[in-house]
Order: sequence, then C-alpha cells, then structure tokens
Amino acid sequence: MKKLNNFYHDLKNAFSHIVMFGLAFAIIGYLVPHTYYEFFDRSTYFTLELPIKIAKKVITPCESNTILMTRFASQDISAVISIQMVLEKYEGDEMIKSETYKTPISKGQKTVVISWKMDCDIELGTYYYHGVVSYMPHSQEFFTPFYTEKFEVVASPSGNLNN
Amino acid sequence: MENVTTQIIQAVISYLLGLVTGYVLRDVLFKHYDNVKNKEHIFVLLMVTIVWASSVVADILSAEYDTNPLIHGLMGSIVGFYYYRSKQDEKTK
Repeated sequence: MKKLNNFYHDLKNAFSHIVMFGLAFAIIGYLVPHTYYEFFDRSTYFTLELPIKIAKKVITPCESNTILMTRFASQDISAVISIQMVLEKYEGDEMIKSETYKTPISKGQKTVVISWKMDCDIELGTYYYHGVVSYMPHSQEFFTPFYTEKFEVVASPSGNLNN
Repeated sequence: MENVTTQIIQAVISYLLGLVTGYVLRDVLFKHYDNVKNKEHIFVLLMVTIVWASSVVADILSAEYDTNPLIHGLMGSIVGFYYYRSKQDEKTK
C-alpha cells in the first residue's frame, strides 16, 4: 500500500512538473517573438513603388485600363489588396467602384498587372485608384497604402456615351 | 533541383554541427558534474533547453521561421520531466 502511495505521489509530482514546464515553455516561446514583433520590429516586409503606374492615361468608357504595380516583398506573404476607383470632383472626390483581392505575394521584386474594365456609362473626368495592401507576417497586421497616377476618361470618338 | 541540393547540404552541415556540439557539451558536462548521479538527465535537460532557446531566437531573427507553440510545449514537458528526475536523483543520492 505504501509502495502504491509512493508511486502515486511520484507520478503526481512528475506530471505536475511536465505540465508546468510545458505550459511555461509554450507561453514564453509564443510570447517572446510576438512581443518582439509587436513592439520592437521595424522590418519592412512589403513596399510598393509609388505612385503606381497606369498603362493608359486617357481612356474611353467600356475600355480596359491596366494598373502596373511594382512591389517588393522580403518574404512570401498572404495579402489582401483593397482597391478603389475614385473620381476627382471639385466638391470632393467620389468613390466609384471598389474591389478586394486575396492574393499570395512571393518573395522578391515583381510587377503585378491588374486589369480594370471601365463601365460603359462611366462619368467622364479625372480618375485615380487608391487602396491598401494588408498582410500578416507573424500574426501582426501591417498595412501598405498606395495610390496610382491619374487618368482621364473621355468620350469615345464613336460617341456612344450618354453623359 | 538547386534548392533541394542546398537544403540537403544545410541539413548535413546542421547534423554534423549538432553531433560535434553534443559531444563537446557532453564531455564538458560530464567532467564538470563528475559526482552527479545520472548525468544523462542533466545532459538531456540542458540540450533540450538550449534547442528551445535557439528556436525562440530563430523565431525572432528569421521572419520565415515560426515554431508551433505545441513544439515549445513538448520541449518544456521533456525539460520538466528530466528536471523532476534530476531532483529525485539528488534526493536519493
């Protein structure tokens, strides 16, 4: 009976050590890098060449325009690109359309082409795109805002435009 | 293919470095703790702690490296077990 008691006591102590050390190592191992990345890390994971280039500076309704995004990533990341097309107006810029893409971004420098079709009933005027790339290396969220060159939407020569 | 070759070379170098470090540490430790019973317990305890500390440092230094908290916990459990065993060894000495 005493042997069994000792065995039980030994097992209980061993188990409590295993659990305590396991928890302590897991918590410290998780918290130390996360604290570092949250408060001390100043690395640049993702940069964009600004302003982002637009293929056609003058475009007609129904045509497609191309955004040429030159970016540099220091590591492979998964990102969400939110992009808005904005019409410049005297009384204040108006957001016309917005799109969100979820995309993996590979390490290195690359020019990404985003094609954007203009609506056929789009208002004439000066437009630009702006948006933000959000990504989460090490579970910390980072944002890289961007804007593009401006471009003009003009009436098509065939005159198939309402406004 | 070039990438695979680099990875194999890195793995072999890491293995050899680990082997040499293990032998050196064991020698130093066994000489230092000559009167300690079951030195293997302290050896395993120290080695796992060093590996764990290295993985935490690697988590900070390499942006691409991320250790699962469960692996940290597993290493902690091993250290906890051997810490308890070495404490028991001290008592029964």
